[in-house]
Amino acid sequence: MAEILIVDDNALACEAISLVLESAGYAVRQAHRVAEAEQAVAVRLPDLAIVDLSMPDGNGVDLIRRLHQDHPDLPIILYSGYFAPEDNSEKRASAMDGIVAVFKKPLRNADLLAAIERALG
Amino acid sequence: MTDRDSPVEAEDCRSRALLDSLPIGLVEIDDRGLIVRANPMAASIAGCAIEDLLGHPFDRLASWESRPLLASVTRAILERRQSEARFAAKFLHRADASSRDVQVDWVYQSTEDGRVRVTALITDITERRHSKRAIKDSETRLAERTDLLRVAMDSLDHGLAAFSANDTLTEWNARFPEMLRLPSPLARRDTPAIAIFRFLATLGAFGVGVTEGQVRERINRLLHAPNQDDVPWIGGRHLRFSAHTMPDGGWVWRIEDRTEDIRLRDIEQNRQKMEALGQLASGVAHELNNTLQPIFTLSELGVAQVPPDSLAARCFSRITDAAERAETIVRGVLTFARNAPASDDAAAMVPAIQDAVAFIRTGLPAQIRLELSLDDAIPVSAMAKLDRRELGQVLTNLVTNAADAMDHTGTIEIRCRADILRFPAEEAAEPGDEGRAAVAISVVDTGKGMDHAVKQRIFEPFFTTKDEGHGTGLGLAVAFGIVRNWGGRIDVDSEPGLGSAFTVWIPLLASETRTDANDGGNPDR
Repeated sequence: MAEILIVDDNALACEAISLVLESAGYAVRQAHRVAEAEQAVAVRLPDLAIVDLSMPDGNGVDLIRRLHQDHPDLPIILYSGYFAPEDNSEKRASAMDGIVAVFKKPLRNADLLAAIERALG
Repeated sequence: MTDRDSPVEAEDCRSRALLDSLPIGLVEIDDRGLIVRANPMAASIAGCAIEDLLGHPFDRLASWESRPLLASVTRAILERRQSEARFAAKFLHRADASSRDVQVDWVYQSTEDGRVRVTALITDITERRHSKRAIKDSETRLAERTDLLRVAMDSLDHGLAAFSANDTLTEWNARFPEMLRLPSPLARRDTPAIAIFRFLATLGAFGVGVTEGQVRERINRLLHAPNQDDVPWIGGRHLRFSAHTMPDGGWVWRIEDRTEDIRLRDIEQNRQKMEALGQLASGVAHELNNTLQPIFTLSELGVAQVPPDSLAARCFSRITDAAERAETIVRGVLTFARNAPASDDAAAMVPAIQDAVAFIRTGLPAQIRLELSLDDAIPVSAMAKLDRRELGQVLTNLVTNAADAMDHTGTIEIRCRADILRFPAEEAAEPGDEGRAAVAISVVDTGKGMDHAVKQRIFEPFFTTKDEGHGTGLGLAVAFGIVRNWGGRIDVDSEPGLGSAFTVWIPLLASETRTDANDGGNPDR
């Protein structure tokens, strides 16, 4: 059973997505902070990570960069509640190594599941 | 000298004493032109002692430029070619080196002992001349000042009018009747102020149906108010009135056109408003999108867990619908408030407009006609950097707004023309912006129109004049944001009761700018 790590400081969103993924047959672990995410990865490497852009103790982009450095084969999905259009962050994120999909919140279940299937396929 | 005692000599003495006391210089000259006698006044005019004059040639008294004339006239008199002469000359005042204007009268006098004697009477006319010149000068200066004052008054941006103590018009500048729209029979000397108030009342100043008395009272109050307010005036202008009393009891009515200041103030306020809204919008968008995430996720998950036709399934679906609506609002506010880079796509303008209008037509009620006119001057090859869906959205929002303003009956026109996109100087991104070739699309309705206050706020998100439940008040705000992100401009022209025209300027791609300018033969380039 493929395991997915969700990194999102919004506990409700984290929980909701976990339910969807579990009902789709994936094993899910949750992290609400950058530090927790790094700990979780250190304990056991997931098959895929879903990472929110802004976190109380750091930036999702920096976390992704480190994750990719240590684990080049880990597919990562980035999502965010807001990409500032003027800093072009959505485009720059899409171009980052290790990222397989970028979503704007709120994202729909079907889109998320399709992206995961493609990445793990 | 016993001669003195003779009656003739005595008489001579008296007359000489009399002549000496006259305020006229008196000089006797012998046949060689030398001074043989001079009175005190002559010495005073020459600025030296009498003794210094005696034995010297008369023409030495003259200043350098008058000397040849004096010498030649003196000779003519002495040779008896002339018996009398009067002429003006300049004499030199030796003491202070000034020059005096004098008038010289010659009298050929005697040949008593066969010797010629000539008397010259010298009148100092310097003062007279000066005062004459001064009067003339001050008259000229006064005329110049009057002209200057007139030119200065006429070149003022302010309207100025002077009224006498009994309130009749005495002086005014060109702007005064222009700003009040006074017809020429009223812009006359002696027009009573009350006649002007009466006219302003008929013009609808301070509102329709306001009486002459109310106008008078209002103006009196404005003229004497310490804190001046800007008065909304006819023709969408704003005026400020003030009065200054004059020493003779009259008063000056001053009118300042504040329209431009108010426009600039509005632009600045609008800029600040947009900045604040931008910050607020991104904050709200972030939080709201995070919150919407579990609502979508769980309502979609929920609906998949229950029988399709169950009540629970319907509930979950409605939750998803509500979340979608919230998402649309967030996206609309963001479009309005945040600058986004222009689209990478370029669209051919003419077909894009035609397609959008055809699509909009299908969604309109039957009582609304939508007419499209495309100016031939728009180059067929005109391209703009925009997403065609966004163009469709802008036009849809404008047409929807127009249809609402017309109570869904009538004709809405979409007029497209080739134009130059110019921003008001204060809004231009780069100073000295010459303007860009653009397509201007006007959506014109014959609906109820709007007043200045509504026009000011029409592009604000959630500002709506529609009844509760009709629209979110985001349509025009979204159109505004999209057009801004194209690098274009949207503006509205409207009068209450006369309908509205929203115009969108879309800048064309640079290659089209060149082609267009050459074809158009714009002499400025």
